[in-house]
Amino acid sequence: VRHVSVQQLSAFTDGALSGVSRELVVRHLATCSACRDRQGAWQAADEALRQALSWTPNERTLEEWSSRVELCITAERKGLPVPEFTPTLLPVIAAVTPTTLPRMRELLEGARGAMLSKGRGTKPERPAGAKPVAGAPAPEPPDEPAGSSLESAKPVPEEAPELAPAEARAPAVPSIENSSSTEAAPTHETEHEAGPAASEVDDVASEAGPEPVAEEASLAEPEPSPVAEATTESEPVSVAEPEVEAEPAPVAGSETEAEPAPVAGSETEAEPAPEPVAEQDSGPERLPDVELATEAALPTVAESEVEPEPEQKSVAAAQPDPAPAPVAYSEPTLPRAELPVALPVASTKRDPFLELKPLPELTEPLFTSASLPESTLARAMRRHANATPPGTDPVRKPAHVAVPAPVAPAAARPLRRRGRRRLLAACTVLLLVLLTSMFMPDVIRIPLPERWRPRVPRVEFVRRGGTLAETPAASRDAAFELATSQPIVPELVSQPAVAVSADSLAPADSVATPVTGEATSPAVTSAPASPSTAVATVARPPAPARAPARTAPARPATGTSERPSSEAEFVPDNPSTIIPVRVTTSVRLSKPPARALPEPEHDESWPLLCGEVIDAQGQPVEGARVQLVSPALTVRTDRRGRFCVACPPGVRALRVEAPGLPVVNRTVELTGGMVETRIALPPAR
Amino acid sequence: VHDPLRRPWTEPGRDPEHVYAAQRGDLAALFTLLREYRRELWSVCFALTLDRARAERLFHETLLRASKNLRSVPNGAAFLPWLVRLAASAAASNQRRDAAEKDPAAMDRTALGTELTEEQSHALHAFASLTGQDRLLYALAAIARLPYAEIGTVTRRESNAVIHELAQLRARLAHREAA
Repeated sequence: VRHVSVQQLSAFTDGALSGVSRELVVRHLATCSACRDRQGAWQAADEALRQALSWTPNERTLEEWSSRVELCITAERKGLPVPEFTPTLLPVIAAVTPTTLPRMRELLEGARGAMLSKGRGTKPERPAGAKPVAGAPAPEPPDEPAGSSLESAKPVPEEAPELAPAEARAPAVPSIENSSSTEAAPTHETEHEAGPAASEVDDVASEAGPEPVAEEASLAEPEPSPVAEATTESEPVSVAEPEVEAEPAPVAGSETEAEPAPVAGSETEAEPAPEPVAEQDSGPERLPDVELATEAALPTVAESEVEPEPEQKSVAAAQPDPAPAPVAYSEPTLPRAELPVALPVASTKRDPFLELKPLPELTEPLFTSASLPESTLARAMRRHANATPPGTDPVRKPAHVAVPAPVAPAAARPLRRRGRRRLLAACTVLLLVLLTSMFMPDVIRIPLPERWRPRVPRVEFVRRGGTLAETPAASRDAAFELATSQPIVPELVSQPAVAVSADSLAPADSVATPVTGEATSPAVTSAPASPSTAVATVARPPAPARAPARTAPARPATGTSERPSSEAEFVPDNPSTIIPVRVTTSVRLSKPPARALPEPEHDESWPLLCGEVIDAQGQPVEGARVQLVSPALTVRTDRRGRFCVACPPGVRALRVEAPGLPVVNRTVELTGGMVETRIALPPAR
Repeated sequence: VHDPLRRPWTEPGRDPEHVYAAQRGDLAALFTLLREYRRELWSVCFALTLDRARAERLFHETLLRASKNLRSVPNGAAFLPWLVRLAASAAASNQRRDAAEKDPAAMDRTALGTELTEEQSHALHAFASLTGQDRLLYALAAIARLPYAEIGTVTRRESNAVIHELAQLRARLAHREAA
């Protein structure tokens, strides 16, 4: 069977084939199972990769990123300090094992029950299994809508009404459900007055009323509630679907109105006393609606990203923020699902929500994000719930939801480590340089190309305590300025003049590493207008005797042929003493370096050098290399041991090499025409 | 990622005039360019880094580089291919730093932000073993679903070379997935 090529198969997978090519592949795939399997595997891999990398930030996040980049660009263009990059997308959530699912459910049920009880003004006992929930604000601020009513948590007023009789009935809800909506009559609904985001506000359901819940969701996994054994029979109460379009009149704005407003509707039938709606919404123990949903019901990440309502933000900001408020995470963008409420059987005077015990420390970063599916959040909470150290009594634990301290990303650690490593490497290199400097020569000459004229600074190592604290060039400049500003003293003082050549102006104690080329600074800075009166005042070297004496001795400028020498005047350390020094600079022009004769270009008139290379037995040597030194030419002998090369006339040196035989050098004089030679290689030793 | 309603990546549109204005210092034109292709750029950055946080950094870095290297945008050409090549270049230069920061085998939903099935995880790990250029090539074909001609323009390859390399990449990925 002739299979289709991988290129054809790949192009077919990408949909790049058409016409006959495509038909050919289709027919082959219909008959060849191997190719069909391979193409299917490729397609599945593409699809899997596409789905795995399909996450895209929402428009708001992209807008924020663009604004940040624009800010950086603008700052850079204006020469302002560019703000540093601060990531907004942090690792979202830690892995959660499925074994923590029951624990998560207990946690959520307990939190819900306690919340409802508190909403009724009672101080319920923490249900069994309740555990501090570690939630965190979403690490994606732009993705996190601000519609959570938990941000406006307020302390519960002390005069809150006591527990209603109905509260004694704790529903034996086996498990958390996943349902769409419930029209339970005895529910409290708190609605924001905002627009679409109001649907994301948590609705707090009261305990079960006499009427059964109309649309009770099916129980995913029946599981006894932690407090089920202590409860009387009751109906599971689910949170109703937020009714955004419902009449706003009966329900008071939970965020804005502090006045207790009875919730209209059938709720009053179940409630002995009307309950302030605002109280439910603003209590510090208020927990968010954490929904658990099956994977099928989950929206995609991109779908869950909604734009927050700015009005809600303002409302939240207007609320007094109680200091110990156990603010919880917020997942307002997720679709709602109902949670059965497990009401505690007996309430105590102690409110674990208000105690604010320190939370157990998180061992790993636990973030929630609005962009996550619900199950991810739920599993994270379950995982944290599972992280409770063994032996602790979960009943006694506070049930408030706390925000974990922001955990620094793990990426910061390698950065610090890398910085330490760099510092260590720099120190090591410095130490090596210092150690090897003792064995270094005085001058290191680095040949550079002529066209490369780098501006390398002059490096000098000056012993501590030396008189030259500044660079010679700088001191010369300063001294030159001083000399030009001072009157020239024509007479010599009694102190003997010291002849200093241009090269000797370098400090004796210093080891300079000049760089060849024009980059080397001149040793003497003297550019006077009039050569005869030029005086360069330089600082006197501390030890002139040690100055390198590689220059010509000073000679008086008496000869007419010599140009008037420049004069230098030493300024000693004591400024009151001026030592005029006559410096003669002689320049000897050396002969230009003998240049190699330019190789004549190949000419037809060159004589021809031919020859034969033989061994000691007179046999021709095949493959011997015959090298002409100048011009550099190399030929090889043929089967007969002969070679022939054209080269310019003159005396030429030949070097003959043959494998296994010694090298022979021969000089041949070429005059013209053709020169024949015979080279015999001695036998190998 | 690829929206067929959008114009092809290689179609210049009004890019040349924006580029010309941006090269002359017009910040508004520059910002228009940078905003227009941010979604495509994100998809490339995400595919190159396989990490949301790193992709965001690469996104930021690429846009900043683009603002500094506007002179090298080809005359009259579309802006997006050049931007994608810039992102690939930046990703390559960050590769060593990223490799030191995180083990590629630790790639999970913490980095990707999504739940991964077993199949997706295998595909991702095989994909992560590719080099940056190969990753870009494969992402343009399999994720962005660009035509081969556009892939060739973006990655500066001949179409035949694109076909050949993609086939080789697929075979290699399948082998690694199986392994």
